[in-house]
Order: sequence, then C-alpha cells, then structure tokens
Amino acid sequence: MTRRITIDPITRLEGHGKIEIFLNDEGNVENAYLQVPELRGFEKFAVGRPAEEMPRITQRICGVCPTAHHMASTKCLDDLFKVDPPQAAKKIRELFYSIFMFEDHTLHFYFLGGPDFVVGPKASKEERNIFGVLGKVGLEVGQKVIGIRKKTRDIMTEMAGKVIHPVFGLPGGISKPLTKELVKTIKEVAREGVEFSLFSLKFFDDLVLKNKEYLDLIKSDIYTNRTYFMGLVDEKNSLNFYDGKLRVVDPEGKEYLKFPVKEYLKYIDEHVEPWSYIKFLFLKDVGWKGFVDGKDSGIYRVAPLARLNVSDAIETPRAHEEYDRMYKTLGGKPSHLTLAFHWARLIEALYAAENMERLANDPEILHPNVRKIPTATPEEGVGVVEAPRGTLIHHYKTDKRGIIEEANLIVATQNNSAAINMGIQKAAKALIKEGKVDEGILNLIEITFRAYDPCHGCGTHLLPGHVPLEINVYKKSGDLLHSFRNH
Amino acid sequence: MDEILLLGLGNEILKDDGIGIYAARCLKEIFAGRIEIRESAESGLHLIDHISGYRKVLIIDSIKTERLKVGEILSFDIEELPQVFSFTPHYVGLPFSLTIARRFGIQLPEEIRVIAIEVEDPYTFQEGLSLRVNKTLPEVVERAGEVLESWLSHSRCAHIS
Repeated sequence: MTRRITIDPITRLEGHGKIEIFLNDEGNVENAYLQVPELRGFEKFAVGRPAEEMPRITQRICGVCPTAHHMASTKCLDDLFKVDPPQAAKKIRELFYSIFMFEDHTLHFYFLGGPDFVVGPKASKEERNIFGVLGKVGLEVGQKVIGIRKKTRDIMTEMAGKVIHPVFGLPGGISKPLTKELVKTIKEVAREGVEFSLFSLKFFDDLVLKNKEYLDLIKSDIYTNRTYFMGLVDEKNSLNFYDGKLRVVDPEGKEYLKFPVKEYLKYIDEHVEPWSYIKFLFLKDVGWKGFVDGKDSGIYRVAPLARLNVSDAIETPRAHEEYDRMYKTLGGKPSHLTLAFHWARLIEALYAAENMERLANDPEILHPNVRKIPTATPEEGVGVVEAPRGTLIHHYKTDKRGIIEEANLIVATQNNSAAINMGIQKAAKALIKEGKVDEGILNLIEITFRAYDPCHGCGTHLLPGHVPLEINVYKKSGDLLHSFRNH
Repeated sequence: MDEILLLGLGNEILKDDGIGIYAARCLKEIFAGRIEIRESAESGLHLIDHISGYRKVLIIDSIKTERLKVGEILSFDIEELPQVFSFTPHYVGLPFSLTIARRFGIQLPEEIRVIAIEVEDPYTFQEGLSLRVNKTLPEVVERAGEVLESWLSHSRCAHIS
C-alpha cells in the first residue's frame, strides 16, 4: 500500500512548490518529489523583440534577483553584438554586481537561512525566524543588517537608476560613469561591509561551529550528496561572480571540464520527468542515471558551496583565509555537505564586500569612457554570471536586425534541481520511519531545500506571503490519516 | 511625513499578474500631483522601502486563491492578513515584513489598505490581461479611487481643523 505525504507551501500563487512523499506498506519512504509550477512561454514572449530590450525584459522574470538577469542579459548582448566593453565599464559592472551579491547573501543569512542554525533546527516555528535570530544576536545587529542593506540599495539606485529593474547595462558598456563622490561613499560602505561580514562569520563560528550538535548535523550523512560541482572561475581558477570560464570538478575535486559559456550546450543536457515541469540538468558525457549521486551520475550542483569547490582560491585575502578555514574544519575539499552552503554564502558575502573595496580603490573605475558603440551585425550571443543561487546563462539568436528569433535561459535553480530532489529523497528516507511524521521531521526535510535558497517561479511578489506548510498523510483509500500544519 | 501612496504591485509581463500595475497607471491620470503613485514587482521586505514614510498606503495586487470567482475584488486592511513566518525571500509576505519593520523602529503608515483581484492566469509570459480580468479593471480603478478620494478629503478636513 502506498501512502502519500504532501508538504505544500500554499502561497499567494496557488501551486508554488510542494514536496510529496510516498510511503510503502511499512510506512517507510518509497519516493519523494519536489514539484514546482512553471512560468510559461518566456521564449515565445522574447521572440520578435529587439535584442537590446532583453536586459530590461529579462530582469522582470525574477522579483528576487533582477540584477543577475540584467547582468547576464547585458553580457549576452556584448557577445551578440561582438563588442568588448572598455575596462572601466567592466569594472563598474563587476562593482555593481558585487554590491548586489553582498546584499543578497547577507539578507539571506540573517533573515532566511540563518534561523535554522542560529536558533536551531529543533526550535519551534515561532522562534525559527528573524526574531529568533534577534534574540541571539540582539536588536542592534538586526538594525545593522537593515542599515547596511539600505546603504547598498541607495548606492545601486544611484549607479543604475533603480535597484529593481536597473537601467544600467548596455551592449558594449554601461549607461553612465561613476562620480568621485559616489566612489567615496562606496568605499565607506564596502569597509563597513567587510567588517560586518567578518562579524557574521565570527557569529556563525560561535553559535554554530562551536556547537557540537549543529556541527554534527552539518556533517551528517543525511545532508551529504557526492556530486559534481560547477561555477565560474577567472584565469587563475579563482572565484568570480561576474566573468570567466565555467569549471566543473568531479566528486573527488578534480577538474572535469573547463569551458567558455558559449559551449554550454556541448556539456550540459536536460532530463525530463513526467511528474515535473522542471528540466533537470546534468553533465552530458557522464549521463543521467536517476536521482543518485556519485561519480557515475551526471548530477551537478551550483551556488555558494559549488563555487568554492570549483575555485582554487579567492583573490581577496580575508575571504581566502575563511575559505581555507572552512575546508580544514569540514575535512577537505570538495565539500559535499549540503548545509555548508550557508557557511559558503557568508564567505562569499565577505568576498563581495572585499571586492567592492578593491574595485572602488581602482583608479580606472573613474574613467569617463564606459561605452563602446557596437557596429557588428548580430547573430548569436551567450552571457553568463553567477547569481546568488548559482550559474545563470542567457542565450539569444537574432536576425541581422537584432530581432530575437530564439531565446534560451538556464536559471540558477534549474542547475540544482536534480540535487535538491535527491537531497529531499535522502533526508525523507532517513527521517521518516514506520509512518511516523511530525513537525520536527518536516523541518529537518525542509532544511535541505532551504540550504540551496531555491528560486522557483520567479517573477512573483507575494502579498500575504502565505507559507502554511502542510504534511498530509493519506491512506491508500485517500482518507486523511494525519495532518500537520506550520501555521 | 508624506501623505498618501498608491502602490500597484505585479509583473506586467506575466499576464494577469499585471492588474495592479495597469490599475496604478489608470489612477495616475486621475490623481497625479495629489498623491504619490508607484509600481513595483518586488516582494515583502523590499516593499517596506516603498511604503515607509507615508501616512496612508493603498496597495492594488492580484491574488489567485482558486476559491473566489475570477475578477472578484476584495478590499481589506493589511492587518487582517495572517502573520506567516517565511523561509525564503520568495515567500516573505508583507504582514511579516511589517512586523520586522516595526521591530526595527522603521516608520510605517498608520493605515495600509489592500485591493486584491482574483485572477485567472498569472503564470504565462504575456503583456495584457485575460478578458475576464480586464473587464474588472474599471471597477478596480473606481473602488481604489473612492478610497483615495476619501483619504484626500479627510486629509483636507484635518488641515482645516
């Protein structure tokens, strides 16, 4: 007899992701699936539009990280119009992008991912949120997070016209150069960002890493998946969010692939399951072997931990020290521990702040030449950035007038979808025995999902923000046996 | 403190999700210069940036409960929405964000009203609304206009007294 458990976050938009768990006769987990709705027809929507509109259109796909779409699209246009932006423009773009990454990662830790550890995975749902975090760190730190977020968003507004849906990137450069006054402000905020990121890491150290129970949880087999990893690296194989080549390492940490993003279709393929709209990406030459890990399975991961796993170093000194310390603590590189994504996210926030400071101190950042006008006939372009949630690729084909004929987007969470599904299956199998399910177990399964900070169904803004998670246990007859709600 | 803000929420390239945006644009023609009018596709925490500093805020947004008729219009005070603690930025709701803002001492409006419209399809990338949702647009604008006029008139009376 198969029983079915559903973890269903009913949001403003009905049908936002849900986790379904199927039990066998013994009440153990037979299978578990993550289901998400599909936003339909973006490719069709793009066809027939002038390519230069894409940075403004594609950023509307996602209400959470429009900056990442804007930047990937802008870089795609550079390639499409065969134009290499002036150095100053590239540096300003990277600076802008670092500010965005710092803000997004910091907010995620304190408000969203952090509560699992800061307050504790077994804390009640009433405590497991920002207020629980504030109880640990104090209101002052919370105000600091809010304050620094405001400062970074103010800078981005001045650089790009607005934070959300920026009017910033253009093929061949950016819309306007920086002023001395703004650079001075950026330096101050960057310094504050570095100090705050160091504080966050110390806080993580004291509250999480020095707690044996939490460290054991991070290292536990339930949250371990041995996969390949992918992320952008620069010419020295160092971490880079803005540019470089895509590097893939195998589960032992050896370089398996390194390629310019233009060649992504040669190496990445997609698998379709009848129960999901998601296209599960995998490494073509390794092959799709199902939701299993190991060297023979083509499943790979992206996002903070994956990026550190594919990088040989971090070019900014303090983030590199923290990177070394993380791998020493976790028992070497690469790390397969899903919950270490939270730690890696904090290290990346530090890198982003240090990188802001480095770029703001570069004299070239004030150069007035920030645009090279494209003159070539467009045909096909591919652009890539590392979004907070992983590798983001934009790919457009146009006619000779630059009108889109084909568009393909690989969004960050798509890369991680197979791994997320595999992680949920593993956690569910380990934690649900003989049909026993309670709120604590539900949370321990959700933790694996949260570590990736997945972004499904981008483009939504949620007014009531309902997330009444439900676990419903049904008999085979369809009768409800148990129901658990988190609200 | 500024007086009144009308905030149209939605994504105008996701079919019916754009109703809040289209309504805000219609209202701009009527109320420009008398109140502040903004559009946003952002979610919870970021909305605080928009509404902070205003005395009264009217939000127009789409909902998809699948329990109401398409085109049905709800009007309620934000305080009537339940508090739900959230676990990703994609699911942070405004009520939860308001609680956070209050805790941090951020200046919030004394009243936030919401006009929400049950929509048919907020999932398809397309400009323009579905027929059934489009039909409700004049009523949405009218009802929002009534709220704004009553706030403005109350505001004028307050100044006289």
